[in-house]
Amino acid sequence: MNLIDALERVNLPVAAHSLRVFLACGFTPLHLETFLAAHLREFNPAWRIELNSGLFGDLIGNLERMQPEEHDALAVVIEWPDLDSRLGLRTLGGWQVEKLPDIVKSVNQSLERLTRALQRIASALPICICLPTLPLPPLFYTGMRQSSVFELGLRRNLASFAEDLSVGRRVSVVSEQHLDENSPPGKRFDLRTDIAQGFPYKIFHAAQLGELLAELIYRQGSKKGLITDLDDTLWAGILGEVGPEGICWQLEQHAQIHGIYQQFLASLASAGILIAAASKNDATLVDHAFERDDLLLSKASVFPIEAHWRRKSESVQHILTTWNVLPESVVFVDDSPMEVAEVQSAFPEMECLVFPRDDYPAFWGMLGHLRNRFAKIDISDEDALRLQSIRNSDLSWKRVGEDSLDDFLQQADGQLTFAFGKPADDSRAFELLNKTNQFNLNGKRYDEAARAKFVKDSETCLLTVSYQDKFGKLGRIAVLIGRPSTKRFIVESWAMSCRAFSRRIEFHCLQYIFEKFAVDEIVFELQNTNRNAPLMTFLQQLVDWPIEANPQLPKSSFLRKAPKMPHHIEEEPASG
Amino acid sequence: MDDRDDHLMRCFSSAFPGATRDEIRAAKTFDAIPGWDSLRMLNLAVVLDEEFGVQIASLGSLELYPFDKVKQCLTQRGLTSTDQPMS
Repeated sequence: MNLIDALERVNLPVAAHSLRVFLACGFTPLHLETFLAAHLREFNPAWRIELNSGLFGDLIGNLERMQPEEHDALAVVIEWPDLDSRLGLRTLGGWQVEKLPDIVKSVNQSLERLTRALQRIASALPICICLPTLPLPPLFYTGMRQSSVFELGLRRNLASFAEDLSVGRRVSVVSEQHLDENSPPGKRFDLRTDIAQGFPYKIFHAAQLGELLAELIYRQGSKKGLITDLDDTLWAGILGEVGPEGICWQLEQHAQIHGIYQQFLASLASAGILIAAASKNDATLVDHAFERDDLLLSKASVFPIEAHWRRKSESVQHILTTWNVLPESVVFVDDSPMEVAEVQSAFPEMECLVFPRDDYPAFWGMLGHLRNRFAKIDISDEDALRLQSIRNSDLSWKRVGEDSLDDFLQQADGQLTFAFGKPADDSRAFELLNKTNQFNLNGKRYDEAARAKFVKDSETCLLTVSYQDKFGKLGRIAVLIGRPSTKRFIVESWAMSCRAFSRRIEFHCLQYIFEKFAVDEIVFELQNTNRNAPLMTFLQQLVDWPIEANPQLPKSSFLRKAPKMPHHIEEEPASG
Repeated sequence: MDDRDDHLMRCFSSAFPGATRDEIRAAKTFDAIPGWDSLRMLNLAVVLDEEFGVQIASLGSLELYPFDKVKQCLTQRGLTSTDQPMS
């Protein structure tokens, strides 16, 4: 994005919803501010971006004075002069050898102040921090080619500061590696504008950093699953030609990138990402191939495995049905451009990638791209349960016809646990709201800023629902945000994992609200998102009239229409 | 209006979003453009550099219809846009 594009984006007519961001930096924010605002508006044109920054040259003081309740997010951009002005070029404090230990000491004191200031804010606000991006001035006697002991000490203390802060999930630290790849370190500093305007960045660096900070503040939802081809993708070789013992993925067989790819998929699977295989192949041979104990991606991590000779899009459709996820939440990878085109044409919303088996730079790029597509802030207990619960569903629940559902549910020994609370760091609850499409009341997403707003709002409450039965645990599978009013309860957001469908958990949720709040009516802030048909259908079956915007569900109608509710109920004490 | 005129006007409009095209064209000095301030002047300088690859010395002191003056300056240097770099 050039500055002219950024200015034009920022100058667009103001939108209704405001996002208040404090950009804390010690220099004049100038073009960095413009690019940050422009990228935030690009991500969400409905936002009016209100950017504030404090006094010039006083980064730490600005943070100490900042009122978190007046903002939705905080971006902190630290440069060396913010830690000791002698590390900048606008003041002349001296670089004599005898002063170097004192500079290191003073930087440590600044980092301690910064830590205290940020810890105060982190409990109330999402924070992203960028460590110094500009070079240290030439003040060390060892020359520019050698890192002096003082420089190493500075960098060690800075890394320790960042590590301590990033342990809490509400503080994100900008990846230096990513920034280095996109903004070459040697081309960032502008001495002329630093001295003349107090703005030390070249425009290109300001643009890259502004975009990166906006990405960390906005945090797009990640994908849920990856479908991979097998021959010449998960492994090298054609299984039908060389047999299970002939396929390979190792260095000595010149097939290392397939081994790396397996290792990468195993890593995704361990983080709760769904992995499936779609291959035009003989199913028995594929079974045998997955029995090889040197495979880096275990068969247990891949489900389902579609191996037959029909169209790939047919396999993909079956996998989506089994997972119960939408095409846009999935990435498809295959070495054949023709297969990729066939699947892409059947599922235009799906991201389909050609596996670049002969192109090492492209393969390296693909891994980074996929890691970003499946990025997570942290790993929850539910991530470990996801695949197993889908397997269980496929083996048991899907065999049950509607007629026998009552009996089956009764025998399943289902247990629902309802918990009310407002924990600020309940990432699983917001992940469900942000990633669920089908059983979602209105598609409302909660980024870090919206979460902070929700936590501050004393009228709304958060209900989370966990489920387990004799087939296993599903973990937390439903989230509802709402507020009680006189004789009614207003549901602002409601999402349930597709893994929990067909268990009547949604009926239990409403029954619980009717009883817990002793209300006569539930009002839903419903919006047709074109993807939430399962939820619309559910609500429609509870009333005799066509559901419209903000439908009301009287308790009498619910009691008349709701089926038998089979699960045991437990309640956890409120927290947060 | 030719392409360069249009491109230049886009630069001015991005830097001075509160001013209409007519106001920009009619302003006798920079500070007569509605919404003028030193930050917007900095933005204009960087935008002209990015879009036309030109740094105009003492841009802020250009008087008597600065829009036309900048256009004249670009013409003298044979510039159209950054994809046709200055000679």
